[in-house]
Amino acid sequence: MNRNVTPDQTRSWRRRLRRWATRAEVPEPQPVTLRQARVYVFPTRAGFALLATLLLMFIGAVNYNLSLGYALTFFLASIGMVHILHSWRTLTRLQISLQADGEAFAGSSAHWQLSLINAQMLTRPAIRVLDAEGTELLYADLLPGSTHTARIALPCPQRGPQQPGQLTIETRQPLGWIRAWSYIEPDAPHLVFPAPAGDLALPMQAGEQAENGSGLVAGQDDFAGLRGFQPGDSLRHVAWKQLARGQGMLTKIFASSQAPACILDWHALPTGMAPEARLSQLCQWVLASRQGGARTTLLLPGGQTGPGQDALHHHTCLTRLALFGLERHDG
Amino acid sequence: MAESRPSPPLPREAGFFLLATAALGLAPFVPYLPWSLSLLAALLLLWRGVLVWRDAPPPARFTLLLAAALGIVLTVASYHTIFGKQAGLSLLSMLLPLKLLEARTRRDGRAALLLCCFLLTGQFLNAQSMAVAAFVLLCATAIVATSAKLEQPGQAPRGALRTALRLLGGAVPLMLLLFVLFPRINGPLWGMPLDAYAGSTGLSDSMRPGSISELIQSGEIAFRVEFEGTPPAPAQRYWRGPVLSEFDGQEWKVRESMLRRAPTYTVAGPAYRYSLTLEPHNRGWLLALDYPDSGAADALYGDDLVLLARRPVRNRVRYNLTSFPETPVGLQERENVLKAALRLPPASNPRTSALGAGLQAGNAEPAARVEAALRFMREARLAYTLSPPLLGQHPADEFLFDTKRGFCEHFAGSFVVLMRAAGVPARVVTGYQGGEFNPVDGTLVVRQSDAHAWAEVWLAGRGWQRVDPTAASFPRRIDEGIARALPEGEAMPIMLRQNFEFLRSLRYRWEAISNGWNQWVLGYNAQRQLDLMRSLGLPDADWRQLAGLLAACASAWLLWLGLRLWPRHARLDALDRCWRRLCRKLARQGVRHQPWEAPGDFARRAAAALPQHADTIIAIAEHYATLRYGPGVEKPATQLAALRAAVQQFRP
Repeated sequence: MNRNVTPDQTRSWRRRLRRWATRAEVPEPQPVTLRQARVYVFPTRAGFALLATLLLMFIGAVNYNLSLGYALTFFLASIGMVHILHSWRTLTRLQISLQADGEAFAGSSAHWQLSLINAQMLTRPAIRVLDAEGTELLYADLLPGSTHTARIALPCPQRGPQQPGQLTIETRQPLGWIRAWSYIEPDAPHLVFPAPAGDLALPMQAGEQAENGSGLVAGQDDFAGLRGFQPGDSLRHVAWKQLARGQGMLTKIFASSQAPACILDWHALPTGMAPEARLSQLCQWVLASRQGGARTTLLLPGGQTGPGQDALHHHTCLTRLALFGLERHDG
Repeated sequence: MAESRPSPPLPREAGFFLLATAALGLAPFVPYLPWSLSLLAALLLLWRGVLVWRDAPPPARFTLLLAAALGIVLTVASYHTIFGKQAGLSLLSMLLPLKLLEARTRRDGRAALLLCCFLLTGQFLNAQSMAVAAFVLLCATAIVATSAKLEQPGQAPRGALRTALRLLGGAVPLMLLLFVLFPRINGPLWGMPLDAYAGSTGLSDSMRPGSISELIQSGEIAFRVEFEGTPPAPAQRYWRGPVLSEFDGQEWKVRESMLRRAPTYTVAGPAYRYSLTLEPHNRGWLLALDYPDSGAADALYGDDLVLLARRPVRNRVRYNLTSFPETPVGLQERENVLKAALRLPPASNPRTSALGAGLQAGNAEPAARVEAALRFMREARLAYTLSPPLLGQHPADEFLFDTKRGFCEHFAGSFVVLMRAAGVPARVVTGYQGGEFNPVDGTLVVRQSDAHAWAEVWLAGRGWQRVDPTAASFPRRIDEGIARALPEGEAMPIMLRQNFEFLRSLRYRWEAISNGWNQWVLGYNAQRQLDLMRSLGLPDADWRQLAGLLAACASAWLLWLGLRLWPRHARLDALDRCWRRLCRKLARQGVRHQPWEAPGDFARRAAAALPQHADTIIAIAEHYATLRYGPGVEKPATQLAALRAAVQQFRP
């Protein structure tokens, strides 16, 4: 037997234990409801210190026949027992839902909108959400019948669909003697695009566009489509109608009739470039062409996407890059 | 894990909570601590208060050590030791403000709270009255509220208090169950500090003129008696304590006696059954009405007719006895006992000795000598007083012939000297005489002020006979109590006076309550627990049955509490119930309503998923939205009924 247990092994064991303790098919369909059976309780360090003190007090009460010493010891012990119920009820029947939010690129972090939904008529104070490493992502007090939503960020090292993974929901309220917690693993995949990288120039189509030099950017003539709002976009271009319909912040794209065009070709990249580096370069280009409002055609070994120039098209391109080479395994 | 990270700093408001809790926890110590230590503790708390107020860091470790050393020095100066009960408690009570003073993090705060819990237990060594219990409950609530504040520093002070009270409501029934049903162990588990029981009042194993009149100044309760059936007449209520037969001319002392497991006499005559609750007096004797039957639990019978416990009585004890006052005792008394009961120191009390010799010469029968001696004392016009003059070298002589003023110990002592001089074996018996019935709960309360001394003479063929020379001279002392026997105008302890009827009745009530407290709360021990189980129909409950019963009751309570605390949805009105029903029906078809979805959005999604029912779904949803959110609906009841019918008929 190998006695040296690596941190990775420990992590893997912990992961397996938590998966078992999640007590649900993972990844779980949303919203995740914490059934009472999957809410665990155990004394905290402060709780164990109190237990030790109670033991001392009990011995003192027995030795000196202090009837009120018994009473005080029993009183604090009873408070501890009622504490268990209160901690447990703070989590029981709480609902959690996660929604992938924004764009994520490999190597940075992906964001989710995490909603804690308290549909019941009780206050659920001091709820923490922790990631698998024990880092606090969120702290919230939930009023009766309220929902708390916050944006959480988790690291995403690789491209492709990524689940938020195991999260811990915990509370130590009301006194911090008992910790109640539950593991969740919700099904909220976030599509992580390749990390944009590479220093090759955006390959603009030769011809009339070259005269423009810079490669014309978004004009204000014709409505060309919508794309996700990015910091820096003019508020005048925000699609307020779509926002009112609850479709989120979108920016209207206008393009002049003679929009520049670019063809982003996998095969045109220098030979000897690794596939991931190619994807990174292509991703970089897609982002640049989106920024420039250029008509884009993406050529990958699997086929061609485009030409197109609206937000949806660029998103399709990024999705293809994110899933490149991954879909076949699924099939 | 999250726990191994450094503890977060102590927030300011929680710092004040902690300070208030510590002050509450230390308050019960103030009457028992020397003033210098109380002052030191108060100053340390004040210092802490200033630091918290100014958000200043704790003082340097060196300063803290200096303060700790000062505490130790003051303790040693007050108690001359750092061991023992009082010194230990005072050191502990210094530790709390010091710990508080150096507290930086929440973990320090929690440690101070635990120390506070420990201190509260410790102070029960000083007092366990009802007032102390109420105060400790307050402190415990403060500890819980401070814990809540430490856990959620953001919540308002009132919120922390409310949390504490909510927990308290759930915990108190559980605590009562634990208190009554948790299997009790009779302590002590190990030896006690020597000073643990200092300061108990009661009879002593010696008597000199003045010792009993000192004792009767105390209104403290010596013991309480509950009789089964008729109690004996006042004149028969002699509660025997130590028997004194050694006399050195000044002082009467207990003589070593043989201890047996059963009495040497055979009981006879009418019986009185009673249970007696004796206050701790740190001595061995168990007060009993003359003469107890065999079978007193865990007691020994001395050959001077005294009942003794195996260990000094250091806790309140309750025992059941049957006494037979008319039992003949000492018919075959041992020779050395009788010899000791005749011994007088040489050349003491010459006048009394001469009087005794005269009695012996004039009366052949010992019984006649007893009568003659009592007659002499009656005719000597002795006065019964609580403040007799001091006596010199020959106390019996001076009392009988010169000062003629004395208390029961003078009467009994002088009578026994006289009897011994007359050749009749005699000895002094101390104990209590009388007692008063508390009209509230019907118990006979015997106080230190009922302490009494009388005499016992041995007559051939009749054994030991009780003779009370005080009663012979002042019959009212025995029939009506001290207050009647003392002359008018005599300075008396306030509660003995006759003209405070209102105060007396108040005191009766109060003592009845505190008797209940003593019997059922403080005196609740393994024996009481078994008695209670017996009365509940479990004749021989052992710890397993108790634990089982406890587990069952506690689980039942926690289950009930859990159901009450179960997170519930808000009460829905009829309209929402209709909507829910529709959602349930659609959910069975795989279209789940999401909490954030508006009725219209959900209906559109459902309609898309179930195109064959699209119209119905949209219609119901619109109807619901109109009723719920629309302006002034006509005939709401009819509309609601229509909606309900539509939902009912909807079969996806």
